[in-house]
Amino acid sequence: MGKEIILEVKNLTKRYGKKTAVNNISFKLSGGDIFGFIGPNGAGKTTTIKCIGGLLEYDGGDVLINGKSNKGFDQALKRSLGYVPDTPFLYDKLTGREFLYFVGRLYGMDKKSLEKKIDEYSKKLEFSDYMDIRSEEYSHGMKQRIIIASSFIHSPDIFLIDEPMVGLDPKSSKIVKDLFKEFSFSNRILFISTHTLSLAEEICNKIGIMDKGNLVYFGSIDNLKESLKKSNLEELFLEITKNDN
Amino acid sequence: MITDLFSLKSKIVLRYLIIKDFKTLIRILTFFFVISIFLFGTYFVFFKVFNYLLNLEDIGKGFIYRISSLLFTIIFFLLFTSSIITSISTFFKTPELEFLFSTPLKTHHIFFSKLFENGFYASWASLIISLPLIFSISNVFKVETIFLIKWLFLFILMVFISTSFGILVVFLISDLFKRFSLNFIVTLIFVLLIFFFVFFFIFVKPDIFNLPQNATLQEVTKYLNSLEVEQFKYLPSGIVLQIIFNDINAKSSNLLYFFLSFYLFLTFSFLFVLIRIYRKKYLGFSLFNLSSKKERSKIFEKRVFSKNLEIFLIVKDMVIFFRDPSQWGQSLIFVILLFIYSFSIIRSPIYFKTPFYTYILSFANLGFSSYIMATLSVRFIYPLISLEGKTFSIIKSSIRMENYFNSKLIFNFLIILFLGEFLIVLTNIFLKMDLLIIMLSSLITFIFSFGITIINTGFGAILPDFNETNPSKIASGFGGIVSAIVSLIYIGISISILSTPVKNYFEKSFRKIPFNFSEFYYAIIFITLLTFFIFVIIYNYALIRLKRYNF
Ligand SMILES: Nc1ncnc2c1ncn2[C@@H]1O[C@H](COP(=O)(O)OP(=O)(O)OP(=O)(O)O)[C@@H](O)[C@H]1O
Ligand SMILES: [Mg+2]
Repeated sequence: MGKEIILEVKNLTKRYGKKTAVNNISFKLSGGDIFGFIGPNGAGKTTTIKCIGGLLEYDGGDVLINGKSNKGFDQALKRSLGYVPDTPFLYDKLTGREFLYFVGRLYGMDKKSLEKKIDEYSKKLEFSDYMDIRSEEYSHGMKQRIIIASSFIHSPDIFLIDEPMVGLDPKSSKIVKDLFKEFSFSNRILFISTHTLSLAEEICNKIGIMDKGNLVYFGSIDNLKESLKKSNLEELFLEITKNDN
Repeated sequence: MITDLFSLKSKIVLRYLIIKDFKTLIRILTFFFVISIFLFGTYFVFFKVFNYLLNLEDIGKGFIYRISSLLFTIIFFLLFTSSIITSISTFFKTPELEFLFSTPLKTHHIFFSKLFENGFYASWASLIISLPLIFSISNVFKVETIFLIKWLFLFILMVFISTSFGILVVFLISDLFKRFSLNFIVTLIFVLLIFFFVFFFIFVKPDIFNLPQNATLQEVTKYLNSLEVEQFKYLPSGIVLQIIFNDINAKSSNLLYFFLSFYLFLTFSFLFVLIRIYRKKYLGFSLFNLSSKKERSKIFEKRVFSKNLEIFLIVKDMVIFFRDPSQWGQSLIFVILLFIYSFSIIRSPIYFKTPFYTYILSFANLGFSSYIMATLSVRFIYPLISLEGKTFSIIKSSIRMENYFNSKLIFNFLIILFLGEFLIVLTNIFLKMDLLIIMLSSLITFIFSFGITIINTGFGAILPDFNETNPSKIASGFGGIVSAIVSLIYIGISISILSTPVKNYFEKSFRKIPFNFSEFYYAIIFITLLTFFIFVIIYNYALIRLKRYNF
């Protein structure tokens, strides 16, 4: 190991037709960072995450992962990323376990370590009860847990997670939160877009605030609090984005 | 890794067949039962007709060839157009793609699995016609099994080539859409269409219209045989069909194999290019996201507060329809198909003037028009209730299901009726049918429109898919296939009931023997009763089902 993981977003711009969804944003994260990406609805969070994940073509700028642009297809680069979309996708007719097998196989894991990981995460995220029934019978939160596990089992270097807390009951959010916390001790990057400000406040060492396609703040929460003289993130958030109607 | 993807996919398909409970068992059995009845029925009809034609000397074989060639051309266009429709969603829009592209799967793995899937989605509807056709040709001419196997293989190649061309068109169009505005493109398509048909009509085959109206049978035969320069002869469908008939006549088809290989080569070459650009295309795909203008629809807002909720619901359906280019784009494709059909009809009457051919033709026409009506209904009417999606529960709480279902039924009926009558009256006039036949066909079309509407609206309520939002996927799902087949069986039964009196009518009017009209009345009464019977059963069952859904 030992090598440092760096994610650098440089002047990223993405337009949909005439609308600019992400406007020239830049930031840099490195191993051990837990990054909370917040902002009002339609601010451009999902769009940014997709551009970083190589799932959307962008119009300007670049995304560098360990110094390498993600523009072309690169299998090693894909392996180093774990992506959890905002709307969970599972194959209806497959069981949770089968889906996890499939994902593990695609990421080149061998059977033994795959089984070990599935075992580990089914206990951590408490889905062993239902992982052998077809996912067409799952609730939203059940799907969400399987999807989160699917990105954890192949232990990528960079996790991109869009709205992880949606649909999770209090207990599962706690479990997921604890899972995330372990990251600060690793040299990997966790990138979470979320509306749950308490989550960002509690576990993130860095935050970014998006508003109308612009990255209006990037840095640690403490610095922000100090400069604006507010005590919690919610007030900060409302202060920064107050020009919206 | 590609094998992983394929084994996963086949596992998913097999899962649909796993029997969990009694209800699924019934469902699957019904499905297979209905499909096999349909396949055998179609096979039987083709076999009978061809066998009958084969007994006519001189002209029989040529006639079988003409019919098969018309059908093959239609099948080709069906494959091509449905591939355009399905590949937009399989290659660019399904949510599965985002997942697949986020994994380390290589682009060509994803492309191949989608190519396969698209071939399946695009071809099932034409398979249920073409398989019986090929089997019946092989049995009528009593060829060896090895030929049948070869023909089926050639047919698969044809499916592969035509669906791949559809994919190519989608890739090209997506480029076009990015560069130009929607209005520009729609206008362009219309202008091109008009040019195409003017060209087709005036320049390609002007001498078609010069054949004397009162040609004798010999002349007709000669004409049929001399129809070598058919405009669709060098499409993959024409080539495959010619190879089939060369096999029957024990002629060699070397040149044709050359053409076929050329098509294959062409297909592989552009697929190779498409694979290269697929990833980039997918990541930048924005076929339908062009308009960022804000729309306030007057008609929508006016209708929201009108007293009549039924009318508002219909207005809502229409507004949604016209805002979705993939929806009206597909209707455009149907219009093109109808054009092609009408043009083949316009060319036909000249050499089909004897009563026997008129009989066959008026029948084929009724059959084909009803087939079009049925296909249209499956594609556009069947999905309507499913498209309400989760909103259905809100609708349910605000309107009585009887009113809801009735309003859908009436509206759909009017549309199908208009279309069907338009088509049947127009083509019959082109065919120079006598007044009685025109009136009769339009009466039958009236009854058919009703039957087809109740079947498709009804199955839309009985077997809906509230989770899928893509109408063409809904139409090609389980319920869509069932209602397509039930519609076709219904039409098949009705037409065969009609066939005896119509045949007698033509024979007698040819020999100038007085004809007893009560035969017609019985047949029509019978069809009306059949339709009524279907109506009562489906209507009541649909309402029971509609009232039962809650989520
Ligand atoms: N496919 C698309 N076509 C056109 N515009 C889009 C598309 N997807 C997103 N947008 C626009 O891009 C902007 C950013 O959207 P995005 O989904 O990134 O927001 P978000 O920050 O994730 O919002 P939320 O908190 O609601 O998830 C929005 O204004 C939206 O209208
Ligand atoms: Mg979002």
